Amino acid sequence: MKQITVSNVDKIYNSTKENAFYALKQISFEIEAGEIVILKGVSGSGKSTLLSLIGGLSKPSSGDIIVEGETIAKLPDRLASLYRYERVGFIFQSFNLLNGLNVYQNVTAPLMLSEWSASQREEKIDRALQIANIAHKKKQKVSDLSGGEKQRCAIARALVMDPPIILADEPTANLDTHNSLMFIEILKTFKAMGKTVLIATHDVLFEESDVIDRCIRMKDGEIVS
Amino acid sequence: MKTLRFTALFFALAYAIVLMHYLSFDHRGKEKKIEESALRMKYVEPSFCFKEKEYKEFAYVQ
Amino acid sequence: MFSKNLIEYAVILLFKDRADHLFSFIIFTFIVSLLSAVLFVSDAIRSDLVDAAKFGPDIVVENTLAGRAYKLNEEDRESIADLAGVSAVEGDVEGYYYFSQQRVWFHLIGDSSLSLREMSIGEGVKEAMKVWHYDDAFNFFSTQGKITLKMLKTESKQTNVLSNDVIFMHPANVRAILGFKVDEYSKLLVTVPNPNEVGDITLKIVQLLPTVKATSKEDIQASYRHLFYYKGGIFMILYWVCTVAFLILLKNQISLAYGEKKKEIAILRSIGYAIKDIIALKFIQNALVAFSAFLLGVWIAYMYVFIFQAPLLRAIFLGSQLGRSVEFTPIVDLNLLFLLFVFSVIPFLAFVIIPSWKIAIADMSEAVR
Ligand SMILES: Nc1ncnc2c1ncn2[C@@H]1O[C@H](COP(=O)(O)OP(=O)(O)OP(=O)(O)O)[C@@H](O)[C@H]1O
Ligand SMILES: [Mg+2]
Repeated sequence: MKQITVSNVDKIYNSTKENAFYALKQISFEIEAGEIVILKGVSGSGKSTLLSLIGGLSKPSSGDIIVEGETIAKLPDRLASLYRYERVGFIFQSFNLLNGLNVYQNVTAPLMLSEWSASQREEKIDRALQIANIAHKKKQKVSDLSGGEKQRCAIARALVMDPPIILADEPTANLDTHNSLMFIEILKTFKAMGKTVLIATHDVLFEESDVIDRCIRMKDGEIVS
Repeated sequence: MKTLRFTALFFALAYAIVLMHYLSFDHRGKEKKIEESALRMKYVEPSFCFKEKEYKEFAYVQ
Repeated sequence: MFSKNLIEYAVILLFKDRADHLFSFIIFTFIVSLLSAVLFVSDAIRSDLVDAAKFGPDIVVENTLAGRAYKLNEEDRESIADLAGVSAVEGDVEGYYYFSQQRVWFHLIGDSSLSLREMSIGEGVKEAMKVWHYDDAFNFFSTQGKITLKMLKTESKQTNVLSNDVIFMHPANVRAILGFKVDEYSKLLVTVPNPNEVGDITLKIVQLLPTVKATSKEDIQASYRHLFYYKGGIFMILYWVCTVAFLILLKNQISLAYGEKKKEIAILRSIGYAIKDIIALKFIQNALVAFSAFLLGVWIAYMYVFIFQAPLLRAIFLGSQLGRSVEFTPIVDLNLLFLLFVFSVIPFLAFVIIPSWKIAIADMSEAVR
């Protein structure tokens, strides 16, 4: 079975107003479990919009998104939140960490919705920090981290619940080449762990890498190849 | 959690002081004294020597 | 109700934003301690007076002349005593003596248990006399010459709210000092055995003696219960201070959901926090702040009023004279405190939870992009 099925999805911004805008038009594609896919396209082509639909952050105007057999487009908030909580790890371009907290306190955020004990949480966090290669900065305030370290902290947070799907929106746009290459290294770990990864990017470094299974190109809200 | 426990402890102690003060105050004794005094005065008038009228205007019904 | 982990995280986030929450905490503590301190002081004074008024006469009759207090005479006493339903009328002499050196009024009250050469004085009187080195006797000057009385004892400090300015002395001395003849009284104290008749008899007395003012016991007690002028003076100032402080507080509470915090809500939503989890977080944080501020505020007020005896505030309520010597009886009106709690904590919470909720239900994909 396909891990993610997107069929005939439209996303219209300001649909009721005069400046209605089709950000996505009749998008359909499928992603297998364990695949690492990149979404390419110029700025404004609708990559972020598509990711936020798949991640359950917003709802499509029409069409279906089916993840592991479950239609996520029409879930009520409680279930949509549960879906994000259990099945999706997000990595954002601007990292979206909680400034003022340290790395540990940021990574623990999703775990606090659970009933796990402190030691159980600690175990999960340590494992995620290991994978993201940021364990040595565990007690450091995230506002004091470098861009690459922030990125790795965000990766650890996305991984800590061990979700099957990782969504990354321009993960390397704020990083230098060295850190971008490190991110691609981490992708290899993801692959080994069998995660399904969808990355929106226009960074050419990804195309040179052999971890990428597939590339979906978008233009003006449509898939071109 | 430690913070919460500490706060709870702080308030428990603080209010223990208040409770102790409240209970150790001789309400009955004071009431008795006032009763005696009131009986002797026959007609009680609060003993506010408001030389300045402003005091009265500030807090009390005229 | 809330999971332990969520509470723990709420506290972590609370400490992250401690500056903003501390501001709310301090203002809220200030408002609560101000209001409860005034409540404690006024309740303490009132309860003593209401206690005392229980033992007053059924009806008090005073005469007036041109709107001012004036003497009553034996005929008045007899005519009231003749009214049906009245069992006794006692003529009482008391009044005020001006101690010009210290510029204070002493309240002279007759007490026939004292001998003709003695007096018993209140704390405030003692202090005022001491300033002029009257340490064991005092000279009263009247039209009939000088009267010297020995200080027999000082009234208990606990009754200061009644006796601070009082001098008890033999009624004959009161008459001599204040210039009352034997058949003249300053007040008539009427005993009416049947409480249902008090109102009628009060009216009858006024009909009988048109210049007098007759006050029933009930009225006196009521006047002590409504002793404080809540519509003006100190209370008005207090309301304004509290209102302004509360508005500032509410504005700060609203700001706890906007700006940086708005993005935070979106971030938490994106990693799986449901709307109810966001509201729970905000509720836990602000309920903690509100509870502890309220508890601290009431505690500060209690310590300030009943242990430190309300410095500054007492002078406003008691005047500078009495100010120093009254001991407040600890009276805690839990009903009013509870009302204060409800009417302050609910808006406190509402003004952060409603905006947070509005942000939480909005599309979060924008904010986290
Ligand atoms: N809330 C919104 N209201 C109206 N239009 C929007 C809204 N959000 C996005 N758009 C429009 O939708 C289109 C797609 O936006 P999206 O952010 O998905 O592009 P993108 O491919 O991620 O671009 P970039 O590479 O710059 O991140 C853009 O033209 C954008 O202006
Ligand atoms: Mg984008």
